[in-house]
Amino acid sequence: MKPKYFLLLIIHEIFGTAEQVILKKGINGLEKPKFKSFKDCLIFVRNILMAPLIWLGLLFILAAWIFWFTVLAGVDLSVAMPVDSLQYVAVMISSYLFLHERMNWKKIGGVMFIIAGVILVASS
Amino acid sequence: MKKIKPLTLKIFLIIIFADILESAAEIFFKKSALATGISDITVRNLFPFVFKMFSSPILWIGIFIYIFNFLLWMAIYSRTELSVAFPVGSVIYIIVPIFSMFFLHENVTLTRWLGILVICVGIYLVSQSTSHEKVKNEA
Repeated sequence: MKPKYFLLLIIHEIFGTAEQVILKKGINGLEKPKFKSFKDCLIFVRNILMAPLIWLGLLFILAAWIFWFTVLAGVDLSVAMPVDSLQYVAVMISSYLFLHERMNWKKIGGVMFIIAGVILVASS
Repeated sequence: MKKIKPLTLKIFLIIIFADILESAAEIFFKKSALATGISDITVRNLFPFVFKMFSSPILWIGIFIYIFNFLLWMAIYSRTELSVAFPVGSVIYIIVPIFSMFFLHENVTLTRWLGILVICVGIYLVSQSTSHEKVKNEA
């Protein structure tokens, strides 16, 4: 994987991660969804579409997609997709920093495995 | 302590279906990237590339599948625990390379497969840690 595409993928991940945090903040601000029936899901979708933070999140999704597509232009999908799992790592670190979610050894261990796997895939 | 909802065969199959759908969307994304004829992104061809991508019907099929998949995941979340759904969801990292071999004729090497396996173990660990915390909070 060329460094240029790795950089584009990282930009994709930054937008993707920011998107996740913004969406999570937006959703946290809504009333807690029940998800007991499909109707609950539809009500939830209606609620999220009315929240301004969600729309900011959607803009970030668009940006994340554009960078993802530029990666796909030059990299095999079977490489880009696994390397994209670095997003788990980025989301976890940002959840810790911005959403004050707790960190534990299982999470850190999982992250180590993901990074090791990504290194294997990216170097293949 | 809250009892964790078991993963029924039905839910399992629905998640696998969602994985297949998302993998298909990724194949459509990659196909439309290939169809632009641009195989190396530069500062000069970035905007033509993005324009070509978004004017490709194949891309919009992918986006449509993606949105449908999002709704499907909503339904999955309503019927199972995230800590159960997530590892099954990570099967996508295995389906995508298989699809890439068949539909995009990519050469998936042994190292690549090994890396993918290690990633799946990592995702499994991460998702289990969440369930542990959740159970503790609700106890």
